[in-house]
Amino acid sequence: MLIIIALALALIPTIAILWPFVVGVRRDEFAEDESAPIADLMRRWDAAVAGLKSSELDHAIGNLTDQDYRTIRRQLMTEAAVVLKTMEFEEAEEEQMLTAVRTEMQAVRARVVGETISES
Amino acid sequence: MKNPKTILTVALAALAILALACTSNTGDDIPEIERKTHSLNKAIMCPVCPGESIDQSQNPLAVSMRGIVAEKLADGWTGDQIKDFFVERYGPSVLLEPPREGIGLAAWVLPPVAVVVAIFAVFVGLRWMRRTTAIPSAVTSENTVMTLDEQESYFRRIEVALDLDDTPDGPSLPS
Amino acid sequence: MIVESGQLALVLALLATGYAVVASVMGVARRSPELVMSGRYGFYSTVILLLVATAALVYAFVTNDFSVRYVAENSSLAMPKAYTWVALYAGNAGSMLFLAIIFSAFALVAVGTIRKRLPYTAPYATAIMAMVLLFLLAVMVFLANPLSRLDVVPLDGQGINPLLVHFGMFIHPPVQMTGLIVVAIPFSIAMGALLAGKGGNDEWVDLGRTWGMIAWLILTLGLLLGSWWAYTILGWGGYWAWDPVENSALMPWLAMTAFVHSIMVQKRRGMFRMWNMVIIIIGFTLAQLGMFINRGGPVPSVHSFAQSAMGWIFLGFMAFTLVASIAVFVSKVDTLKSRGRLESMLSRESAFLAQNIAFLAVAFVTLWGTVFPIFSETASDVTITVGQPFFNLVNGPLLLFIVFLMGVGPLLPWRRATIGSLIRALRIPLAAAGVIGLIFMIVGPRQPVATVAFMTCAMVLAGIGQEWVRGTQSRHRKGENYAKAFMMLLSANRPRYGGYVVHISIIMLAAGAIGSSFYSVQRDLVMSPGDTETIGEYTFTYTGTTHQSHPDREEDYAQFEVYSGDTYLGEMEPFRAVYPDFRIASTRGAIHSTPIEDFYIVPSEFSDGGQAVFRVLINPMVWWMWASGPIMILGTLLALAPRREPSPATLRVPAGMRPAGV
Repeated sequence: MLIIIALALALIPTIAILWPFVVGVRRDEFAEDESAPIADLMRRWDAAVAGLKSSELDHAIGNLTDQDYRTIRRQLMTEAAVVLKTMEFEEAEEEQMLTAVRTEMQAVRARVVGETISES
Repeated sequence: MKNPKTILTVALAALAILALACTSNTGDDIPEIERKTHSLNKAIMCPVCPGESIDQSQNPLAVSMRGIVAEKLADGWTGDQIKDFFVERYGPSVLLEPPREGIGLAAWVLPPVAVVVAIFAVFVGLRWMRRTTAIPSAVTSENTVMTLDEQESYFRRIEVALDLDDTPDGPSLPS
Repeated sequence: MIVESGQLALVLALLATGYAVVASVMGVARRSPELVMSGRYGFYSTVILLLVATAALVYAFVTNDFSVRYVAENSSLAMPKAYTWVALYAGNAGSMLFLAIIFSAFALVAVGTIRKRLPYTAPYATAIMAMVLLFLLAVMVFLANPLSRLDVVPLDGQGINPLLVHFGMFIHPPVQMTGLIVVAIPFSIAMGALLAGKGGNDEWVDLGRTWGMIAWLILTLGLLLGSWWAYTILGWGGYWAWDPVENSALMPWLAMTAFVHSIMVQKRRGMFRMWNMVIIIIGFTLAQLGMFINRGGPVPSVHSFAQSAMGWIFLGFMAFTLVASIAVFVSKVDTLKSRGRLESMLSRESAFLAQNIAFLAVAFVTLWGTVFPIFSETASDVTITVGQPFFNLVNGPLLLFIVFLMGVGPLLPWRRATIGSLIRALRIPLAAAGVIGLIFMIVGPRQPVATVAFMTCAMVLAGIGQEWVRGTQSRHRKGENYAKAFMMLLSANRPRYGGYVVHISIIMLAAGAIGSSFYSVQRDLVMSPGDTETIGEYTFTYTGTTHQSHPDREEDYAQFEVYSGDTYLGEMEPFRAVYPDFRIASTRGAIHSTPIEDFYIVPSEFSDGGQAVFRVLINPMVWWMWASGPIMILGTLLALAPRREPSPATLRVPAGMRPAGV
């Protein structure tokens, strides 16, 4: 009886450990680096937004002088704008690349179909 | 809806009254000798109980030591004489406070030194942080090309999305 | 057989955890998702195995199986089954199992949150958490097995330590131990990020902050519960004695309080990168020191009911992790350069630095006082005791300064502030402090230190109130009504306002400590049945004693009828119990508690004829200390509540309308 329980217990970690090798992983978690440029940009965006909100509040409360607020606001808005532009630029690039790939694939497909027709 | 300022003033006033009420019993009616007994009891450790003063501990030895303290105070001994009495019997470790001489002095000297070092460390740290240049990022306002119009349009979009005031010159301070 | 299954489960858990360490590290080094997942699943499986082991131990307790040594040492036939929960962690081996199962459960959740967002950091973090668990399991399997059997089976167990038989003991030790071990989680995330080469990126900071705050909250609750237990059961009318074990739980709390503040600077400005690593290493080291001193270290303490040489093994592991962390830190220190720059000497960033250093100073002084007896003995053969009077005198001013910082810091905006705006912001808080000071000097009893302390508390409260009022008014000006403005203000600025709520709870705690430390009244009275005494406005009559015999203890209950002025407050029944087998006497005070003050009676000895010595205390404001707990939880939850900020995607402009040149 103890043997059966022992085997059952031993199965628990064994199955757990072998699972990924047997069943396979659904996606490669190393594909997306957590500190990829896009992640860094997102974090800078979050920090800029948080800074804009908190300095607006501090200014409205009176903890921040008008002059300091103007300076900080300019700094943060510029940062946010730069980040936004970079992200949109990269996205536009990606879209251009995808469009180019799609066009290329259509051309290949047309060629293949044409060849098949001419063969038959 | 009541003005928040009024609410705050009322709340603070209520807390002040509460604090006063709590601290109103002066305990003036306690005999002086009892007060001295208590403060002495809190300064002497029970030798057989780990780390408890004779005021805290329920151990029979602690109880008898409390009795000795009370007796000697009634006989006119001073606090220091009573402390010396116990030190003679049990050694300097029977006192809960390190003596201000010999090795005990080290205990007292270090904390103020630590405070001075701490103040120093704060200023040095701040100066260092002011001076060090931050690592440059790949994307900065310098190396991203943007016309003034572009910048303005980005600024508008951000302001709208975050619902920010569009004038940096905000309202005047409330009185 | 069930016990043997539990033992096997422990061994299997040890193997699986060892595998998890190796597989995680190898997996991330080779970029193999299968290997990393395998290590992670192996780690997850230890939770199940530990549950099996725990169930086996519970079974042994419930069936009074005294052939298991731990059961024989920590329970008896007379022990009510409900106390099995306490018995589980009352002794060394059992507390290791408790730490292991709790830590593995928390770590399971932590790894689950980390792996999706930080795929490169997560395997290293998992490996570090697995190493901590490996240590606990190794100690259990090789040194202190909770399920090992005795050769000679006793007829009855030794029973549970009577001091543990109180409701407070059902929650304080588990919460305190959980707090100490959970510090390993933010530590693992930070170190994992450093090992993964991500020290220069701040992706880990979000989860590091979240888990840091969770560990902080649990530690705070553990300390509060411990103080509450000391107050209600140890029967000397106090709640904090600067006892070595108390100090050892306080020190990691001080470091973690520093951490949860300084981590915000890294999140906002990308600064303090090196500093945060140093702080979390200090925090985890102090947490391990806490576990060491708790386990019967070289310093004697009231808590030393789990004396053993095993404490030194904890010290060894602490030394190992400290040395290893420093090595990793030094080797990766050049990845930790700041992204932002300090723009002004007067700013929230500098306030946080000052606060951090102040907390570390308190921790250092506390550590110094705690280990000084050992130092004095080695240095000069004279053992010197360092107790309450020393710590009160030395830490009191430092803690008061920290409270003062708590009042000034939030008034400083990020990046830069001017002296002028700070002074303007401080006008009302300082005025409030002045008013309080004046009132106390005129009306109250002369306690200058307490007056200054109350003034500081008033300054902080007024400052927080002012922020709330001005914030609400600024939103009100935009058109919202006051109630909505306030709600929206809280909701739009959760970390900030959650922090304010926590600060309010700290002031409640401080006020309670100040009131009871400086204004309490204590009398020791000899009373015979029928006697009536008066202290302040309380009149109490000792009506008699009843005696109760139990198989393991003798109890004497003293009955009192208590009046406040002319109002009948009710009956109070303190008691004293003697446990002949353990040679311990424990007292339970009777407490009548109001927000204003506690009226507290505890008996110390009974003579024949019912005459007894009673300690009677009036402790002002203690209620506020316990009331601060729920407020602190609320504040922390508010500060942790996530909020979706407008993401760049929502700012998308349709392609046709994009400005030219993009």
